[in-house]
Amino acid sequence: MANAARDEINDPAILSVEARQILKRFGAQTIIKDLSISFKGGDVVLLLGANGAGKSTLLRVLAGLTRPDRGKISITNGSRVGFAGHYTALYSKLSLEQNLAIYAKLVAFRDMSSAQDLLRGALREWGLEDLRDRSVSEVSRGAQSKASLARALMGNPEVLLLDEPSSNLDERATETLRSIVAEKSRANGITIIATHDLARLRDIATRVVVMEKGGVVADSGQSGDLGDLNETIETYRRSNR
Amino acid sequence: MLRWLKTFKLMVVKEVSLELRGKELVTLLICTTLVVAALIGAGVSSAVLDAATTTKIYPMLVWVVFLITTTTASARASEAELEGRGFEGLLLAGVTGPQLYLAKVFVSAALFWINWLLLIAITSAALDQDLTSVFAKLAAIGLGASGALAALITLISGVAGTSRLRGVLVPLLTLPLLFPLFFAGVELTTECLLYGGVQPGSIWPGIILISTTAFLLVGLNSYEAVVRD
Repeated sequence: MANAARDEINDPAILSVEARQILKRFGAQTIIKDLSISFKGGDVVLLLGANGAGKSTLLRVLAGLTRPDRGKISITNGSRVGFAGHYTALYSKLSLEQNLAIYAKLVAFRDMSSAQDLLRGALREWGLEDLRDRSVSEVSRGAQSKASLARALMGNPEVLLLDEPSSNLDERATETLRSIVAEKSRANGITIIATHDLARLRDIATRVVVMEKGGVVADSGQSGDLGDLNETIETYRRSNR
Repeated sequence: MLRWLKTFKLMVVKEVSLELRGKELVTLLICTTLVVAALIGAGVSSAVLDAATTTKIYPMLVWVVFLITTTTASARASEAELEGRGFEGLLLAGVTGPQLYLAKVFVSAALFWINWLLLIAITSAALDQDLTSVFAKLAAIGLGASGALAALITLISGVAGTSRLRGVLVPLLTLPLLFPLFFAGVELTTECLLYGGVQPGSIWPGIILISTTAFLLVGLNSYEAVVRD
C-alpha cells in the first residue's frame, strides 16, 4: 500500500474507496450484511450507529485487517491506509519513541524523508515529547490514543480510518485531529470516522452515514450538502431515542 | 530487495528492543536451564553412575533439558504482538507477515543458541564430561536445532497466543513435533562424544535441515493468518 506521494491525489476522481456486497459473520452472528458503499477524495465521513451496528468491523474490513466472508474492497492503486482502532497497534513494552521510530523509519525508506524529523514532528504535534521515554503501558489512555493516532498518520496516508478517535482525547488533541482531518480533506484524501461524538466532530464532516444491524440505513451522500447532512443526523438521533 | 532487508533489520531491532525492555525470555531460559541442569546433575551424581554410563546418557539428558526449557520458556513468544495488536499497524505500514515472522525466529534462535551453549557448559561440568575438543561441533549442532526450534515455537506461540492455557499449550503442541529433532540431536551429540565429530554419511544433519526448512515454510506461509485470526 505504498508509494503514492500526496501530490498525486489532488484530483478527487483519482482517489476512491469502494466496498461491494460485503458480508461478514462472526460465528452465527452477521455483523455486516451485503453492504455496498463508496467514498471519494475529499470525503470526511462520520460513520454513526448504535453499538454493534457494524461500524468498527466495516472500518477493519476497509483497512484490510479483517477479511470479509464475501464481497470486495477496492482502493485506488498505490494509496496508503492509516488506521487507528480500539487497539493501539503499538507495542506496550516499548517506549512511545521506540514505537513511533519504527513507523518513521518505514516511511523514511519509502519517501527518503528524514526519520528523525518525522519522529520529532509526530511527538511535537501530539504533545508527547515529555512522555517519549515512557512505555505505552505506563502512560494514560489519552496519551496511548494520541500515540496511536500519530502512528496511523505517520507518512500522511491518503486514506484515514479512525474508530472512536476522540473518545480519550482532550480538547487540544481533538483540535489537532480536526485540523489534520480538514487538511486531508482539502488535499483530497479520504477520512472515515466511526464515532458517537457528534458534538466535537460534526462540523468537519462532509458526509454522514448511519449504520444499523450491519447495513447502511441513511447516507447524506457525496454532495456535502448541509441540509442532507443535518437530515441524516436527525435520522440517527431519532433511531437512538 | 534493499527495502526488504532494511525492513527486516528494523523488525529484528524491534524484537531485540522488546526483549531488552522485558528480558522475560532470557530470564526464563537461563533460570529454567540452570535449575533443571542443576537438578539433573545432582540426581545423576547421587545415582553413583560410572563414567562410561554417564557419557552414554549425557546426550539424551542434555537434549531433553534443552527442548523442555526452550518450549516452556517460550510460551509467550507472540504475546507482544497480540497484546496491543502491534502487528496490525506494521502490516498497514507495508511490513509483510514473513518479515515479522522471520525477525522473531532470528532473535529467538539466537537466544536459544546462547541457552544451548550455556547448557552444555554447565552440564559438562556437572557431569564431568570433557567437551573441549567437540565444543565447536556441538555449538554448530545446537545452532541448527535452535533455528528449527525457533521456527516451530514462534508459529505455535501465535496459534496458542490468545488462550489462557498458552503456558501449557505451547509445550504440548510443540514437543510431539520435535521428536525428529530430538533424535537427530541425541544421535549427533553421541557421534561427537564417541568419534570426535559427525560421521561421514550420517543422516542426522539432514534431519535437522529438513525440520528447519519444513517449519520455516509452514511459518512463513501461515504466521500472518495465525496472529490475525
